[in-house]
Amino acid sequence: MQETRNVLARGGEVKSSRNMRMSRLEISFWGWRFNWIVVVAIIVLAMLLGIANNLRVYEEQRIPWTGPETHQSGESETGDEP
Amino acid sequence: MKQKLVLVVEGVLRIGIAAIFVYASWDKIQDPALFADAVQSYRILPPFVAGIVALVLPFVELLAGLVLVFTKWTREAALLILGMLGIFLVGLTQAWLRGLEIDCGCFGASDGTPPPLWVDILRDLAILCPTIWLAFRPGRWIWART
Repeated sequence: MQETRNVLARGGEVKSSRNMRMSRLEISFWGWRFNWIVVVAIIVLAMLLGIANNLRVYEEQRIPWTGPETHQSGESETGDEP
Repeated sequence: MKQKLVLVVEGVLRIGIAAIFVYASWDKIQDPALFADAVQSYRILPPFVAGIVALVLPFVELLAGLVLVFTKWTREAALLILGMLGIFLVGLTQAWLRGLEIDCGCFGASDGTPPPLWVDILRDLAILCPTIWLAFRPGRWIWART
């Protein structure tokens, strides 16, 4: 902004271009710029989805409470003695 | 004419790289425990960290692939893919140098004998080159946008 004022004070012309303007969400490294919020959003969303996926897998693989006890007591499904 | 060609090449590369990453993520999302074993077999991360990586990394792959194809944030997605490829290459290279005979785990569990690790390293290097171009290609710099 100050630079623009200085140029105008010297009677110069300021050319504005939409592409030249940097958004507050952009980071620039030696002229190469990227939108950091997109990178952060992808990582955060991936973490949330990972947690949700973990819960899904846990729910699917949980053994029903009657299962192991039936087998441990030595009863077979046909009712015959083992 | 040249611009059209660049656009076509960019489109093909975006779809190709995204397809590889979405495909690679699918099996890992289905069975995170198996992928956690694969991560642990590299013997660089403690089990707890390997578990977190196994849960989060496939979704980063999936989302980065989708963003690369369907949105305008090509650079950002390419940057994430570049980071992942860097991590994969470090892991694979150290395992290869240490002589570990492990399954890469890159596309979930493989059927039969897994290919040698140098094949996986070459494949990742082949994906790395176009990804670098997508992330840093000319025309994406501030001074080229006047």
